[in-house]
Amino acid sequence: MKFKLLVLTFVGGAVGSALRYLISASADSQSAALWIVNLLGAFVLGYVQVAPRFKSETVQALLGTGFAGGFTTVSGLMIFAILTPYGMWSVVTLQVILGILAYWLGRLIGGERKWSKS
Amino acid sequence: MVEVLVVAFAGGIGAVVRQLLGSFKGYLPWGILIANTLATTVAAWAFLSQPQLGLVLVAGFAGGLSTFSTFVGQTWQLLAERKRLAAFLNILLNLVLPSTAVMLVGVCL
Repeated sequence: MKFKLLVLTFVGGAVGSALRYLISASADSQSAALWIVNLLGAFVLGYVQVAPRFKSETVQALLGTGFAGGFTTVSGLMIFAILTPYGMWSVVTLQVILGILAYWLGRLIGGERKWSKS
Repeated sequence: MVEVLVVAFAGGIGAVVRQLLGSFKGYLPWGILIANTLATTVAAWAFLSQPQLGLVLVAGFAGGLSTFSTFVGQTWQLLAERKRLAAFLNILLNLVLPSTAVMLVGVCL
């Protein structure tokens, strides 16, 4: 792993995490905050992985692995689902299914016209 | 403002650890499964017993280490490759292992 890519992932992950924290700190409910960051982050990752201008591995590390990865969270979702009285497994499952669709939508808007590997 | 910087720094570290783990792939994207399970374990421990470390560990490190976007993206990739069983197992394990870890942390504390 190139050191430059790790630095870019650090920067993207730092910005994504800070933004997620700001959204969760200002949201009316943690449930709403989780829906926003996870679906938006999944969409962004799909877009970034397909859009031609983001093709380079440096941009992938910064915006994909770093930003979209750090912005979204599974640990937060699990803590919410299990350790707070508001969590429900049906909601978690629905979020995963809609997350896959949001990622796919990102790919389609990013320019993909058919199923393909990236 | 200071708390945002603390979350940012810890989240960046978490993302770097995730990138290093992420290359570990086979039948399933194991690296991300490990990252999500590890992150949830750390977050549950801090959430339940170290509230003063909540900012740096729950919002920062664990949030940056775990990822929902790459998890659903890799699941989509498996579906695109018609690997339906692997896609199903990836979803199942990414929900079951982290939640089991939360319960184990809860029992052990």
